[in-house]
Amino acid sequence: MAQGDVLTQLRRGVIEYCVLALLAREKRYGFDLARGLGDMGALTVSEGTVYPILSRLRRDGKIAASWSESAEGPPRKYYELTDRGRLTLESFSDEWARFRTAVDAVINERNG
Amino acid sequence: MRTMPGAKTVARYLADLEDAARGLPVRERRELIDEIRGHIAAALPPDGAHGEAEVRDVLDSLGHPEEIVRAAGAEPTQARAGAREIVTVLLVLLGGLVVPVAGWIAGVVLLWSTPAWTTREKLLGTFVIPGGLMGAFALTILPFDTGACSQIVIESGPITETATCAPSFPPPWLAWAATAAAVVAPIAVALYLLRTARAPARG
Repeated sequence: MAQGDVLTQLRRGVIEYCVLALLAREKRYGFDLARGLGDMGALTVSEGTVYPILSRLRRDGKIAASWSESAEGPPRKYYELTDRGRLTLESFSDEWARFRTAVDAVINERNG
Repeated sequence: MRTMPGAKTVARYLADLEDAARGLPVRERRELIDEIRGHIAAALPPDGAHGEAEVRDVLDSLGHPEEIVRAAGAEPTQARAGAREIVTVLLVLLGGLVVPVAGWIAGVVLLWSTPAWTTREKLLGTFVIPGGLMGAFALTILPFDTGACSQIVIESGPITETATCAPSFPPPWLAWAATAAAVVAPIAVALYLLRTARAPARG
């Protein structure tokens, strides 16, 4: 597998959980989330791909969307975690910790 | 209203996105395009004090429309009719003329077995007009007697009167109008289907 492909596959697997994590502390505008994900180093994805992910998370009931009036311009959409989203994030955190430890152990094995 | 710099570039990007997203359900597609449009508006200064370069930067960061559509779980589509779509439309329209009934049915089978059109578009293609041009001719020209009426010649003695018969129902002008409409309709639908076809994108 080419280098770019590995990263793409890995990213695809975790990106939804990262979006949930970004919403763990506070509600945020879709635009902020798009910019935020675009900035995350190895997790960088094209900003536009956040929106379908947000739609899916909303359909799955893990986040909720609301509109807030804006002084300049049209109302803006913002997102927040639902209880279900919080549960999903917590269980992913646990799984991820276990997964990360296991992969590290195997990868480091080869260095003796 | 003053044209914002980069407005055409944005319009083209959104049109490309719409084209690529035809594989998504209508509601999802509209939602996605609205969100992207809102993103672009939020990314650019509200007073229009931006240049073409800034607009391109924002669009680059957003990413290629095909990538966004893939993130939505759909295969990107192109707004064009491929070879298969063209053959399908031709069969539906003209198939009945070449091989009566069977030719048209072949076209309809192809029409319904492709994802290139929505169900509504497929229904339009099937029922306006059933049989395509063959159906149009069968429905309109044959039943109507628009030919010449026979003339009745009355001879009584030195006087010969010819009475022209009354035109058959419906009046010829109505029959011709109906025929014209019945012929134009499937052609118009065929052109419409060619325009709205979305062939799967390659690559």
